[in-house]
Formats: sequence, structure tokens, C-alpha cells
Amino acid sequence: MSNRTVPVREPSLELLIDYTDGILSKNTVEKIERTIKKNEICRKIVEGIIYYKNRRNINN
Amino acid sequence: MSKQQQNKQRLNASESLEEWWKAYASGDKNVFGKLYDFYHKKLTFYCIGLLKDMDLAENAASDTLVKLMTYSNPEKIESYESWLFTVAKNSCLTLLKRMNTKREVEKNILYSSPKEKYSDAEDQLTEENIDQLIQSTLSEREYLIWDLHQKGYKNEEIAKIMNMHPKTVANSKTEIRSKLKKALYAIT
Repeated sequence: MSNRTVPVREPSLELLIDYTDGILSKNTVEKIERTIKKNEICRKIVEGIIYYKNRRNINN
Repeated sequence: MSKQQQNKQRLNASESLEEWWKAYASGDKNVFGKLYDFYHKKLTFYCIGLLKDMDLAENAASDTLVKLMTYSNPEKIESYESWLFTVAKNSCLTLLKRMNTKREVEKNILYSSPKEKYSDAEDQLTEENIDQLIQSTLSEREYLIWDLHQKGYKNEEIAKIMNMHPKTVANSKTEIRSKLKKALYAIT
């Protein structure tokens, strides 16, 4: 499922997880980044996902 | 999965979500489970982003959804998502405040004995008294800012936690300092 292009309105949690995994197309990434810049909730969710992944990697 | 299928799936998901909210607002408590499943993970990640602590974040997310369940007038909520995330944010801020208070209490227990504290009349202005003075002088929001500042958070970090502009935080801190100065002059 690499480089998949998804239309971005309100990014879903799954899409934000895919974004942090780096498996989205350049176009979608740009759209998500624009949304993240404007939307504090999305920004915090992404921060949370990244923190969770880092923690999981440390524990493993 | 094709682009069309993905669009259809997203559309279906948002449609059913809207239906769940409508049903919930009209008093159908059976859909709460679906809403819980849908939002719990999202809220947890949001709270992790704010608290940087996974256990606390999970508690804050659960608390938020429990608040929704016990909210007596769900039909009066205009935007459910905004309501949920605002409640989650406030839960996180309350948890941060509680954690700071707990730390303060632990610090007091560790580093000072009651004998030392109240041995002298001059030492009447104890840390607790100062904290009480600060609390009574400042508004709840100002107290939170000051608390985070005392904990060593930078303006940008406080701004992120409180969802404010860093300049507003700086201005608030100046105002807080002047208020505290006046309060201290008044008692000395």
C-alpha cells in the first residue's frame, strides 16, 4: 500500500498513522501537513502517535 | 484498494458516524459503544500529544467519553467532535495541575520537616502559604501558566499546552508578575 493517494478533508486516525509511517504519496503528505499546520487537534494527534511509536520502539 | 473504493469507504464511515451522533442525541444510548470504539483511540493519541504519558492519556480519554455518557443534554451539543476534544484538553490540563500539586507535596515531605517549617515566627511565610497566596491572587488560567513556568516550561511549550500564542503567554507572565508583586507588598 505504499505511496497511496488519498483525498484529504478531515484526516482520519488511520490516515494520520499512515502519514507517520511515511507510506503516503507526496501530494497527500503535503495536504496533511497543511491541515496539521491549521488544526491543533490533528497536530496533537500526530505528536501522540509519534510519541507512542517512539516509546514502543524503546520498550522493544 | 482503488481510489473510488477508498472515497466510498470514507463517505460511508462519515455517514454512519453522523447517524450514530444523531441517534445518540435523540436518546439512543446503544450507539455509545460504537462512538466509544471510534473515538477512544483518537482521543488517546490526542491526550498523549498533550501529556506525553500513555497511561495518563488513556485515563483522560476514558474520562472524556464517560463525561459524554453522563452528560445530561447531549442534544444541546452543537459540534460533538469539538466538544469531545475540548473536554479531553481540559481533562489533560486538570491532570497536569494535579501532577504538579502532587510533586509539590512530595517535595515538601521530602525536603522539609514540620519542625523546621513552623519553628520560627519569621518562617510563617512557608511555601504552602506562598502557593495559597499565588492561588488566591491569580485566576485559574494564570495559575496554570505560572505553575508551568515554575516547572521550567518555556513560553512556546506553555503556549502549546494551553493552546495560546507564545506572545500571549509572555504578556500573561508579565501581568502575573505584577499581580504577585502587588500581593507580596500588601502582606509585607
